[in-house]
Amino acid sequence: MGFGILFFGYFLFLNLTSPAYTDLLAGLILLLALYKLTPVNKFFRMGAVGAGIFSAFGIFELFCEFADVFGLDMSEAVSYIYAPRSLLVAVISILILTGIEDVAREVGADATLGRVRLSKPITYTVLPLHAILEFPSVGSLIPSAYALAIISLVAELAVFVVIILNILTIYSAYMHICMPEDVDNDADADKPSRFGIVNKFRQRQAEKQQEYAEYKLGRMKAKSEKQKKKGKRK
Amino acid sequence: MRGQNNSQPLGSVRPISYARITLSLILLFNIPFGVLDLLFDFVAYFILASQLKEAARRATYFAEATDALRKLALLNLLKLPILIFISASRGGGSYGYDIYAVLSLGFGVFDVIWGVSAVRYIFDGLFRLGERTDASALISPIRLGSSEMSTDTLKVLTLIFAVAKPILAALPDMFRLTSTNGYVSAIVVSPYYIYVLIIAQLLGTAFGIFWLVCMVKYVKAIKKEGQIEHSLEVILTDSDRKKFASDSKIANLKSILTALAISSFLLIDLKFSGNDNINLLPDLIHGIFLIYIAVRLGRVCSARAVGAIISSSVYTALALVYYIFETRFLYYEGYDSLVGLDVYSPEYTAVEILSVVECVSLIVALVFIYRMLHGFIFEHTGTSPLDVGYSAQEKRYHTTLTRFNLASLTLGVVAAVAKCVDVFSKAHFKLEFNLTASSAFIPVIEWMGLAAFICYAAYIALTLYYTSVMKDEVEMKYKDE
Repeated sequence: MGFGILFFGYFLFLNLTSPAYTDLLAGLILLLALYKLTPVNKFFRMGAVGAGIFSAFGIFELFCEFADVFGLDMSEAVSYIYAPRSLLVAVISILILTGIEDVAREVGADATLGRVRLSKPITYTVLPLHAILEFPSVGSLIPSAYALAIISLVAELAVFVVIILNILTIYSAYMHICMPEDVDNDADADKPSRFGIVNKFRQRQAEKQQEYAEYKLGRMKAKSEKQKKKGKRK
Repeated sequence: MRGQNNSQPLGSVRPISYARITLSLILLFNIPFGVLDLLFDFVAYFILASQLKEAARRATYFAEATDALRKLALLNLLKLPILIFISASRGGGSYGYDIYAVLSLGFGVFDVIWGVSAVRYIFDGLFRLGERTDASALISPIRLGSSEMSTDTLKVLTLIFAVAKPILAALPDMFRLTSTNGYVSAIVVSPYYIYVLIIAQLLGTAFGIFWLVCMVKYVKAIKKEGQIEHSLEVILTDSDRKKFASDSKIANLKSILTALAISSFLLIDLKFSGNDNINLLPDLIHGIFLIYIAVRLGRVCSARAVGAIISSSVYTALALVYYIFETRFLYYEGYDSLVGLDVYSPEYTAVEILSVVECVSLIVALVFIYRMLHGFIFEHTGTSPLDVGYSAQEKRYHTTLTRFNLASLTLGVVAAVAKCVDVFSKAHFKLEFNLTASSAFIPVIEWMGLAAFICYAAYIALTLYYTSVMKDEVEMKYKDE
């Protein structure tokens, strides 16, 4: 289930409007997901470290956001967080994509590999550039406020697009790559839960899956028979 | 290699648009003036790539050309923000010119490499098609006044232009490099810079116009002959034809579902640092996407699309009006004016009313699209209910898909309402704190913005899952049919 959790964690990066509220959660979910994927390759391992640091940033951001309530002015401190935060998002994204590319190549998941090849160069360019732009000193280098606004607008939209592309890539990995851990998880799922409602839900899900598998098998058989008949007629 | 059976329909094939090709050639003929390229090259490359993609599905040797054009499009798209950033952040000149020149040269090198390969692949593909089919205009000389130009010469001319254009665009920047004068480092923009710039522009534009005239004549000749579509069809073998028909149908249906998944992302509000700023992703774009989806669904479903198209159009128009009012309010007053006041701004009342109207119109549009998708499920997944082999199991599976559709609609409605409530929350249900006992400093927690984001996230996640399941089903139904 590593990629599924990764999908939800990375999804929270889409909150570009007020990330301070969700960064901690995003960091923790990513940490959990990347920790699960740690045995797969070194990129996920490094990504897990990045997610851990990101969670620490998340705590600080959340603290700064609520500092207003207690009459503390943390606005200056907040302005220095954006750049390292963006840099971390870039690093984590690049590590995740490289990790997925590695796994997809190994298992021959061409659809996922295609997506990684599309999103990787764009991520490599846009996210680090956005992080550089977030440094307060770089902002002051831009002489005109109008130019700064236009650049920020372009950067923000570009980041939005990149994150969507990466979400779709992770989703593709979730759909096409089955990790060995998933098989183990299925074995764990056989253990009955303490809660009756959970067992009922699991049973119902298993029945549905079985039914769907049978349905698909039936249709595939019908299709092959149809094709055989056509071949005989010819 | 020519297929004899031309009676079989080819599924959904988008015919090649000569107007778009001509437009892309017009966008390409000029030499960019530094960062400023008023005729965006990336748009031209995207248009050409999309046109060749259609040809590549039938004649696979166009695939390499499509790839090269896509690379060029992405390169030119990336070039734009990077060079704008460098030129805008260059304070006073110094190292900024050097970075700019080096980047300009770097981009130029890739422009030349991919440009040359794209031109070679395009012309090779056209010549191959011309030699094997009746589309003789592809290899016949073009008339230029009283003289003629062979297509081989046109290929060479285009190759020269593909090399010359990036060089002429980057050359003036080389004259802006920093040079040193003895021991003292000084910024010396070469006095020849302006002359090089003028010469590069004049030469490049003159050459570009000549190339454009030749290319337009070539395209016109192909259009006049009108054989290219037919050539692309006859070049297919019988087995290719069947595969192509089913593949194009699957691609068409899947692209509608992809558009639906992407449209769900556009519901999100994207604002500069904080929920109280201007929305960079107006709902207008979401509305345009919904119109597009409604039109495409109308083409593949038997259900009428008029309702969905009208409701999506109304939503788009209202989203535009709402955006104008919200931006006007932010410009003149700002959300800060609402904090700690009991009397609300009449300007904001208009924003609130419009947000409700927009929300209602979005819900109506989503309901119409839900109805069309309902039809889509029965027509394009599993066995048709009208078929004699429609089993109880298939009926149950259709029920599951329709439930997904309903759940997606419900979450869409919740997201739309959350968006509306977010607008109201800014004035009426603010979470204000006044612990400092100072009336000038009242912190406000943007709680509803966050709640709205969670609603969008749920809607997006479900739509993504639901559309991917539907894509599998569509593929299963039509693959190798």
